[in-house]
Amino acid sequence: MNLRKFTAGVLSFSLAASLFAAVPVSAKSEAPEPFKIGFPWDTANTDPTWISIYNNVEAVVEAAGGELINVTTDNSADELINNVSELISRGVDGILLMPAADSMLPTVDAMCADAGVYWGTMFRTISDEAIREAMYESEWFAGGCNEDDEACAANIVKSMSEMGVTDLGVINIAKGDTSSDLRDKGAAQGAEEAGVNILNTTYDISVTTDMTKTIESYIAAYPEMNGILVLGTYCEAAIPTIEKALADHDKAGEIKVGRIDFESELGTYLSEDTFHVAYGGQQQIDPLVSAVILVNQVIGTPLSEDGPTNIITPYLEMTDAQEAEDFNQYFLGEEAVYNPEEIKDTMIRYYNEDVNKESVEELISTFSIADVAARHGETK
Amino acid sequence: MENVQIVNQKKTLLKKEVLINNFSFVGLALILILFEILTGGQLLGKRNVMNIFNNFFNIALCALMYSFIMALGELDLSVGATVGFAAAVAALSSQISIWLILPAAIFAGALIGCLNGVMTAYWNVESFIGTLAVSFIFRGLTTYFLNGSVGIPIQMRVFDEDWVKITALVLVAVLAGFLYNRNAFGRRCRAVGASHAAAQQSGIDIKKTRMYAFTLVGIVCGLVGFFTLVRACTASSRTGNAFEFDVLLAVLFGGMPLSGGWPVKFRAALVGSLAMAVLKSGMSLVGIDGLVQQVVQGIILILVVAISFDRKNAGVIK
Amino acid sequence: MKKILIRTLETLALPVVVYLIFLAIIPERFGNWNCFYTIFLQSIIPTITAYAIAFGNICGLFDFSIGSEQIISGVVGGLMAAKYGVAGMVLGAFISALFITLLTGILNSVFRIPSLVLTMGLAMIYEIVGSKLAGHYGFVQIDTEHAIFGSSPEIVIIFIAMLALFYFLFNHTVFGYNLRAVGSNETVAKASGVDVRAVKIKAFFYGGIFLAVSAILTLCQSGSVGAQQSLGSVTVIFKPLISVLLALVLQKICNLSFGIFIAQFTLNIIFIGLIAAGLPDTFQNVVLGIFLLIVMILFRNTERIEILKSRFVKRTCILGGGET
Repeated sequence: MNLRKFTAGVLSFSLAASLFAAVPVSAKSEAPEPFKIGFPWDTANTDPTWISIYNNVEAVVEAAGGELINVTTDNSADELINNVSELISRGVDGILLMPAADSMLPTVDAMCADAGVYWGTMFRTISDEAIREAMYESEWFAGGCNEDDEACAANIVKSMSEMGVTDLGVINIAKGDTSSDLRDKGAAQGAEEAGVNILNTTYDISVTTDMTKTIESYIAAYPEMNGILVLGTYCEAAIPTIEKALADHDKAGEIKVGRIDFESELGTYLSEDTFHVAYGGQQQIDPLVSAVILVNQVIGTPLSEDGPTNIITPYLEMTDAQEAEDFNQYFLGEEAVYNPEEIKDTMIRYYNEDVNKESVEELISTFSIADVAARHGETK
Repeated sequence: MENVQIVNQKKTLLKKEVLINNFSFVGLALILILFEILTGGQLLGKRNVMNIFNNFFNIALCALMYSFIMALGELDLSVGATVGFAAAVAALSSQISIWLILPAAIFAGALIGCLNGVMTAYWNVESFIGTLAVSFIFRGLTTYFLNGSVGIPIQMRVFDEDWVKITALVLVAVLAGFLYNRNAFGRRCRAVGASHAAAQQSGIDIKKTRMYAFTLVGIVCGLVGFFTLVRACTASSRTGNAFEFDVLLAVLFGGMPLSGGWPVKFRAALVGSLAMAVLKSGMSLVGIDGLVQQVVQGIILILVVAISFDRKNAGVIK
Repeated sequence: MKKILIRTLETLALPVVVYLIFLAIIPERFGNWNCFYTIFLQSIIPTITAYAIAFGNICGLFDFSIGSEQIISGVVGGLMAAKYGVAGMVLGAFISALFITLLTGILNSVFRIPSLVLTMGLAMIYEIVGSKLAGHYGFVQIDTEHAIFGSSPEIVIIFIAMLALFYFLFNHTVFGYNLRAVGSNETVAKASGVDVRAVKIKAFFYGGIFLAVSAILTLCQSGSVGAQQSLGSVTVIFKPLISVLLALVLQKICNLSFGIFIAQFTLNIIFIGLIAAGLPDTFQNVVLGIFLLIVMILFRNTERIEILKSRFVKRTCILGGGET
């Protein structure tokens, strides 16, 4: 009898132990406590890049078992502060935003600290040393993901210089934006190193007619111009408009064109050899990883134990029409660049305890258009 | 029998008039009730009320003084640029001393307001064109001077406290209300808006009246610039962006006629600003996306004005 | 003949003086034919857009919705071009522009509220219609083979035709007379039998013709038309509007049809001049604002200027007399 009891006990214990061994404690199958992530984003903007940014953030939050709360914004500093206030009042646990400037961050941090809400950034680094230091000491700042804007701009100028560009006309987003300022700085540095002359920079072009006008004015005023570089723009169909203006002046192919940030129409011009170099691809991976950093923090399983996590994504280079087609299909489609299962398994620590800052960095180091096409092409 | 019919008809007309006169209030109440139901009580919840206030504050502050411009039958398309420029000047002056922030903002605002006043009153430039030109100039100057964005010390956020803003709003509302309803200046503005010739004949100095009205708006834009600055602790080229449309939408939502004169009611500034803030917050809480929000705002704007517009006394509708 | 010559010279003085200023500053960049021709070509589309604005503006209407209507026309034209080629583009742009401007005119007549308010509300709605029509990418692009009107000489021929049409409609039709009558005094026009409502609806509708042409040319020149939101389409019309306002100033010495073009041409000299001078683009807005302000002040104070002028002449005469 005792032996039977003993045997039963041993068997029960073994069974329980084997069950625990098979399913690690940390790898939970059930969702974490319900949580809400606030995301100020312009949902009135129909640009597919803007929509894909929203989709990537939403994919992370929902994959982790949370709910995404959106408030519309124009992404200016004043509006973002109002958005933060509104999201706090709606009881979110974390807020992800694209800062308009470094100087607004202490305010965001103070508001979030008062409310006990985590916050994170996407796309933008913190250039101001004092602000950066203060933010990285904050308990409520989860961190963020960004690309190296300065290096990207410097490298693309050098790359264009190697193609024979000596005199460059530049287009950029509005001054005051962290990325715009850093890209300006990088381009100036790249130009100096490569001996390229930057003729003029036009900022904040938002409509195609203004883009045409600017390019035509560059052609008219600077006959020596042999390169156009778009460091950034919120103008829809920017490259097709530039290409059209160049073609109308018989300059297509003659004037080299480069762009930071991919857009949907690059493939055609790459195959026609009238568009020459594009660095980017971060518009989808940056927000996704930024959301991963914040969500992990909110759930209580931060990617890094030593304070806010900053991950820098490598920028991709688009070189041919096939890549451009894949980019349109896999980056600008409905699906995020990592699907919910991939996000859960490889980016959320709550579901997989092996996930940490280094593992995410390692994962995205192989991120490319071909990588997304291979992963998601197979599943389709 | 006929007398009874006439009395009934008069009563119906009076009711209609009362309804039309107070349509902005009715509209506000309808919006409040609708979104309170749709959001399950979240709209007027403790947390959201201050949020509505923050959306309402800057627009209301400017709209209060904008009533004088509307009463004159004028427009000011430079208010956004003035807010941006005032915030920029204030942020730059903070690098000398933080005590300069408020005076610098108000001085910059007053300067632009004064320029608008001189232009419209003494140089006879139509306010629509003149203020549009001024907005081009000062938007450009703001971008040039800031050369990016400029921050101010985070300690300045003390001025973003609710009680400071409530006090400021109450003070401005009391002052503007007094000037508009209890002072000769408000009556002069409405008289000029109603008829230049009649106003001039009754001895009103039209030029001075216009000049003061635009300067007042400039000063209050400086104040808005200050509060915008201390809220975000940042001035950038986008500060005050499209604020002119927000203010214009608010006063129109409140049922202010563009024709100016006696029908311009002071309360419309407050009601319109509040209606806009509630509508925005309500739609956001319900989860309506940005595209639909814009359509709803457009439709409501047309309907509100279509219902509340006094066609009988408007004369020529331009 | 002498009078016409003097007036022509007076009219041309504005762009010539502005051009000479930039030529003096940057002779090496501004003194070439290509630069001059680019300025001319760039002035064409805004001029035609300004013609569309002018009809309403002259009869006292203010139309905030023109930018969004132009986007809808361009987007529909672009979509139709993909299916039916050039004919589809032209038909699509015209039908949509005329439909939407007629709708705006009718709504203006039905609601009887200030046009500024109505068109502001409509612009908010039309912008979203444009966004929805533009579809997934937020813009519509056309094939190069369909973009036949965007470059010279086609664009120049179309411009001449539009200038002639505007001149004819404005100066030689009953509608043109009525339009000016309503603009100068609506009450008097009404009392003298002008159907003010019909004139206003026609002002929107005829504006639609020019709107469709400017949308087609934009589509052909830029190769694409993008949607706008949050009243972004309103700020786009401010620059063509400025040329209408300047043309009204020049009206004393120059017909409105040419005045609008001269004003737009002058604005483009400033635009390219500043770029060629290497100045940051922020200066464009500052210079544009100052330029508009100076012209308006001069125009609104001609009497005072005349008085000042005569005082000055008197004074110099006295001084001259004193010296001798």
